[in-house]
Amino acid sequence: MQRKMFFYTFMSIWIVLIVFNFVAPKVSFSEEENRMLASFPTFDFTKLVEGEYLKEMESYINDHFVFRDLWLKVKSTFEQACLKTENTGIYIGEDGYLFEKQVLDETKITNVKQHIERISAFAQNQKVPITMMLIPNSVSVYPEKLPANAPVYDQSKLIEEVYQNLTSIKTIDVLDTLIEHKEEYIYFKTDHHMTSLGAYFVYQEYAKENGIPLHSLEDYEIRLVTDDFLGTFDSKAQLILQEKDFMYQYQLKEKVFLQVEYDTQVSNSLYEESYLQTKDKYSYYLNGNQARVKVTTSNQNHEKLLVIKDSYAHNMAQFICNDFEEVHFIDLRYYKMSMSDYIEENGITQVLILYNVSNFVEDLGLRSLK
Amino acid sequence: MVFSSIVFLYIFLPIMLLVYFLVPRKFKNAVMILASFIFFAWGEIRYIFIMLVLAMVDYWCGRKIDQYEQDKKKKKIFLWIDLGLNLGILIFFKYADFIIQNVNALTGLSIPLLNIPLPIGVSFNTFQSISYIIDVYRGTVKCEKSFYLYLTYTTLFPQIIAGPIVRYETVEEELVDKKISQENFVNGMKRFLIGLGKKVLIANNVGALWNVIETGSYTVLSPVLAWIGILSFALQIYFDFSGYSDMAIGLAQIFGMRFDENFNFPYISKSITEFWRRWHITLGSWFRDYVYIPLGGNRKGLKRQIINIIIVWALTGIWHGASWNFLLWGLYFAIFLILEKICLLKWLEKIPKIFSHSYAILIILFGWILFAFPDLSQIGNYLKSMFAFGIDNTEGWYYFRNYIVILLIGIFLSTPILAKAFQRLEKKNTVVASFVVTVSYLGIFLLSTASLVSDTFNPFLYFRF
Repeated sequence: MQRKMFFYTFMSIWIVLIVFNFVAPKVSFSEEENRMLASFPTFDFTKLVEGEYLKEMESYINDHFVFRDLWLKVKSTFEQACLKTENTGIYIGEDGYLFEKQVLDETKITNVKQHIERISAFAQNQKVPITMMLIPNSVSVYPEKLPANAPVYDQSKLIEEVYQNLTSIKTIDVLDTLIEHKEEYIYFKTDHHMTSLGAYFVYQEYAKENGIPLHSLEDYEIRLVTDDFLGTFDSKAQLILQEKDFMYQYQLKEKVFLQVEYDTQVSNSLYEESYLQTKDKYSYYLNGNQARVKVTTSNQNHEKLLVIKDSYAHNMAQFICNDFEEVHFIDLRYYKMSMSDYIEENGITQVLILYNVSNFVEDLGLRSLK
Repeated sequence: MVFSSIVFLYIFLPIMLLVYFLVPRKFKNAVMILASFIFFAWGEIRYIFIMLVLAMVDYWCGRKIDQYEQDKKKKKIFLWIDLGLNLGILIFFKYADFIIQNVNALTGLSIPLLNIPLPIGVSFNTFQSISYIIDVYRGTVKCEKSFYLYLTYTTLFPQIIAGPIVRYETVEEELVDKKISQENFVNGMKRFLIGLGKKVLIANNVGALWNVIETGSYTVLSPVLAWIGILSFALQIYFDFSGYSDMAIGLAQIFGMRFDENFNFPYISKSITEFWRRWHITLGSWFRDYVYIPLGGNRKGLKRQIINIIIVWALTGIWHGASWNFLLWGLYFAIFLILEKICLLKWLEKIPKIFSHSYAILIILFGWILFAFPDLSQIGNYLKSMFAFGIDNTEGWYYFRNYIVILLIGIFLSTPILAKAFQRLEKKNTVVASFVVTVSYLGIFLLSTASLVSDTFNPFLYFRF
């Protein structure tokens, strides 16, 4: 009886999985993980001899395995059953907070050094005022929510060191401000970004330093755009029963009219509604990753701001754009032209370099800043 | 290709089994050979040619030795042709760069390295060939008259990657007459699943901790981290290696063949002598039969026996990899084996088990440090870290907290307690027992699948912010 029971149950489950796997439709993008899945490898004789072809084939097969999302959940649940407090490089913190596990290794330290050199060299040659803002990640604001003894590096020390070594540039440290507001909802729990509210506090600091008139929170019409956001940390950790995040939109009651130019399209809004239907909801702000975004407003103060940034600037845009005549957002990963020329050609009057720490230690095109 | 992959489990194996069981008996070996070639081509297409040449020469030399049965001289020539070729291939692929490096270091020359990638399974394949030709020479087995059958034996894919080393005599009969039955299929599949679970659920999981240490992804190597680190390495290598052996044995049984056992709960040993009777058994017996005994074994006095032990363990060590630390690892065990032979063993048998067991475990654990680091200075540093008691253990406790459950599971499964209980359950023919057994195996299978599917799971975070 044992033999028969095993044989028939095992064989039927195995065969169902095998057949499903062969016939199930393939998708090229994983919503759940928010990444492109491996594509079917193109045949190449050298690749075959080198073993590369079959390796690619293997990742294709794994990526497209039937019920992939379900298997990922099973795996992460197994890890949690083993009482692990991290999963695929994500710390599982208290109160639903997830954090990135980042180790400051040699490559990252070298990156930081190079970035400091590049930024200083760039700033020296500019006539317009330049401000650097290095934004800490949630891990530095909520260290008490980390799993006990979790190894992290000191971001405040890193920010201090970077600021000390930068020359010809104004720097603003926002960690204290953020810690002051930590009881408020300033970071996403499941994503590596700040919430709009967090971005508001960061931008307040920039405005204060640069003599820009401040707006209080009452000046804004605040609207909940989704209560169903699971960000990049969740994509990696794949936890079941994860608390979801909320995303808000902040529009000045006294409306400023805008024209937003992307590489290939023009819009009159800083938001892109269609992303709210996908997993990648943060791209709602400023249409996700773009090489360059130029915003022209109904303001007539002749102030033109250039923001050299990572995606932390995307939800900050809704605050920034109210105060300038033009705002230019540049992502150096995709935009490879000279910034000095850009400043001159566009009559830029001030520059903000804005990165979050965990990005700043990676290579994000800052190396080619010129 | 490896067994523990989605490609193998859900594409290669099902197709192969389907074809294998459908074709008439006389074609089953052809299916095996073809499957083996595809299996190896998946990793390293060039190696198929080496395998074919080796098989042809082995076969030809075997036939010649058989033909000159009475002519000792000629017989010997063919033995040495085949030994020379096998050892030559092994040395060329595995040790050439190691030898060049050391010659360069010694003489100040700068002979360029060859940088040849080590073909998968070459160590196992050549050792099998050697055992075959020596057995034919000695007359303990009859030479294989059919090249087709010899090729089936020598390319048998289940064991080439990581053993066990299967001798010709073990499978001689089954090359012709495979014992295909539902019983063998079920038992083989169960055995395969156990191996799969060992590799994917235990070895890979504890291996993640070792990976932290190997890649230096820590800020300080504190004593706590160093100790759980080497423990995780010990468990990883055991569950990985024995898992592969289980999978090979299980697959063979599905195909209707029986392989020798390779591991027998080595970590319950109470002496190093016992450990080597339980760890990688087919390698140990290979060295015993083809090196130790021909050298005279223990028949030529204690002095000679000690020398023989040293030779055998130096070779065993270096077989594991072309690097000094493996040689050191082998010799390290030789010392304890000699000590045990001379006096220690008698004494170990008398003291309470807890002490003899601790002794063996500690020696084995420290041995893994030698095994794990190719660089000798790293070994020294690691040892220092294990006893650097002033150092802050905070990070160590974090990893302890994260891995203690899986480490304890690993330790528990290193003992035969659960395996024995489970075997009793498998013999009961009640509904409940059948249900528990079936669900357990299915659990292993599905959990392993989940782990394998998510392994490529590595979202490219910065691509789509």
